[in-house]
Amino acid sequence: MEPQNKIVFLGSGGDYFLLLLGNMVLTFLTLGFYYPWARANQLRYLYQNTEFDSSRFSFHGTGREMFIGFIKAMGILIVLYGGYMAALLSKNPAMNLPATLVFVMGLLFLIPLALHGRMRYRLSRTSWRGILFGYRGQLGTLLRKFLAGSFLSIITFGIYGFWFTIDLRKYILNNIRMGNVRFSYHGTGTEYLLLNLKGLFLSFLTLGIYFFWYQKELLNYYIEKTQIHQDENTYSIRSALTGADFLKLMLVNFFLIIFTLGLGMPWAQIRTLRVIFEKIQIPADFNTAQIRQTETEYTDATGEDLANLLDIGAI
Amino acid sequence: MQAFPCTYYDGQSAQPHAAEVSLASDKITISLKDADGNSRIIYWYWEHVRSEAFLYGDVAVVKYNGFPFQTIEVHSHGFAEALQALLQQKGKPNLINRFLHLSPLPLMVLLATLAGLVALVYFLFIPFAAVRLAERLPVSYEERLGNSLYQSLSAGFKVDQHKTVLVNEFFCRMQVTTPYAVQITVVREDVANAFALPGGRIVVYDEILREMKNYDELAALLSHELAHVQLKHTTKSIFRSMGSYFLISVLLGDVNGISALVVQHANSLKNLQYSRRLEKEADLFGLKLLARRQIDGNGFVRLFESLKKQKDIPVSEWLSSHPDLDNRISYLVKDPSFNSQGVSAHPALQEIWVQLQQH
Repeated sequence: MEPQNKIVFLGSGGDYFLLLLGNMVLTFLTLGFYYPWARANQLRYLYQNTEFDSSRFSFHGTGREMFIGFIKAMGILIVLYGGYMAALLSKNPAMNLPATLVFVMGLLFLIPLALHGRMRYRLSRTSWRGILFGYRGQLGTLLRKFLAGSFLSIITFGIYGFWFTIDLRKYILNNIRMGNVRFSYHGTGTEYLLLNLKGLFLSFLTLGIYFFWYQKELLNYYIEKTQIHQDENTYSIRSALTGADFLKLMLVNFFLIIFTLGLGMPWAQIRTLRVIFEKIQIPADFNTAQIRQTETEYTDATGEDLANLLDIGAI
Repeated sequence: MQAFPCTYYDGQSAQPHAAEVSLASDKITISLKDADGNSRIIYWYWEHVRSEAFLYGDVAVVKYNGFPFQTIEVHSHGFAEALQALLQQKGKPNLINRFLHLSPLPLMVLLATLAGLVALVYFLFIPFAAVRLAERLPVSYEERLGNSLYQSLSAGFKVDQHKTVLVNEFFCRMQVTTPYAVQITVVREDVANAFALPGGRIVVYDEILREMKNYDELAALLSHELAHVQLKHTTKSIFRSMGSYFLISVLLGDVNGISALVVQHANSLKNLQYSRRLEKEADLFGLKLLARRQIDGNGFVRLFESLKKQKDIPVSEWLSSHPDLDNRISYLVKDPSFNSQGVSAHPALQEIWVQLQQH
């Protein structure tokens, strides 16, 4: 009997490299229009090669859905950037300030829109043993949190940013569903700030050596403060990742990328996923057989593409 | 029909069910016992099976396309092969799979062709298109582009108002005919430099004025910069680097980066190096302009001599895109247009020059 509830990443650097190469070639040949299909291929590969309790995840988003999202996202960005450029190129310098304000406000609204759309689309197209994932967050709530958080971060010169990050993470994770399984996040801004202060201070004292332990702690703070809820039961996730693991991972990745002039990037990404997933521990008494289907499909990929175009990472 | 043991998930829960699966040309048949021990048979017709069926080593995963989202996992060699054979008859592998299954040689040929294509676009098509586009661009557009670039640059400028007025007047008195509304700005800066923006704006650092001994050097400098404007050198090089940047962005899939380009470009204009060919073109254009006005072409010679003194380390022509200053002097002096219409005195220019030196 295999150990239960293990997450294993089985992707191979060679396959992933060929996949990305193929994506790049086709994206180039089609002047960028293959991009949504390329993205779908990449996600499909990464999800399919992630195994939980001996079954693979699957991503069933399609290039076609993501293409429609891509066109919409491009349209939004073209209007926003185009309007801004037009205002700057117009002969009227009085336009510059209002145009910049509108542009920045536009971006501030777009980021939560993209995050929300991405979570809804990505999760609704993800399944495991036929059980759909889902995102129950409300756009209005996220938008309010995002605008308030951005505003507070600006007027506190970034200090509120630590609470802001945790608040967003909490909201997003609390709204993720895997069938009837819920997740929740229990980090606090204060702890997160202290963790960062300690990390920066010790990294400085040790001439950067502690930096790897600092990054490991940040990652583990993400994983270990997340809980799984099924019916009345709560399970805590653990991460066995150590600073030494992280140091080894980063050093090897560094050489993999530097000595191959960047061609080793796919191998580095694969190694990273393998190590991080391998160290995640989900309690064995979390019974996967009791997961029930609850979510429905959602096919609008605008947020997914918008987030990619704006280069936003989530989860 | 061969039956393979499999694990069936009914799409209602993640509870695994032991089952048996068999393949036929029209459907997949799954048979299992339900919770009460009764036999159940499930048919999946091929048109309802998701076209992506996955084989991972010896595990095959097949999904039903529709509600509920049923899945089977089969751990058996024979099944994977039978499935693959059937799928090849039914579905078409997607483009990426076909690409991945190419043998190395055609793949290499494809990549080499592609690299050649990219090089062709980068080195031939983009420069060609940039020149054509710049030539067709109306002066009013160039002015608008130049003005907005100037706006973003001028934040860092300490403008010398007095000298700016004098140098503009100096340029007027040179009586040059040009379709561009030339506007010169003198900026306080410790580097000997001058550059031209599209549409007629010229920026001169006051250090270069201090290096000059004679008014014909200023006339030479202004005629050289005007040449960059009138021959659209800056516009062409902006289009060229925009084209290159766009190509690189598309190659790297980084569509977001393009927007930052125009703003970034404003700053690099200060250090913009034209190719040696364009510099020579501007030198000779300026020389002809001086000859027509009967201004001494030795202004160029003196200007380059002063700049040479300022440079401690001589830079070889091959290392810098600016032709070696001696080389520039030699081709200018040898050019047939050098002082071809004689040299006359220009008291008006001399007078402004004296005023310029008083500050």
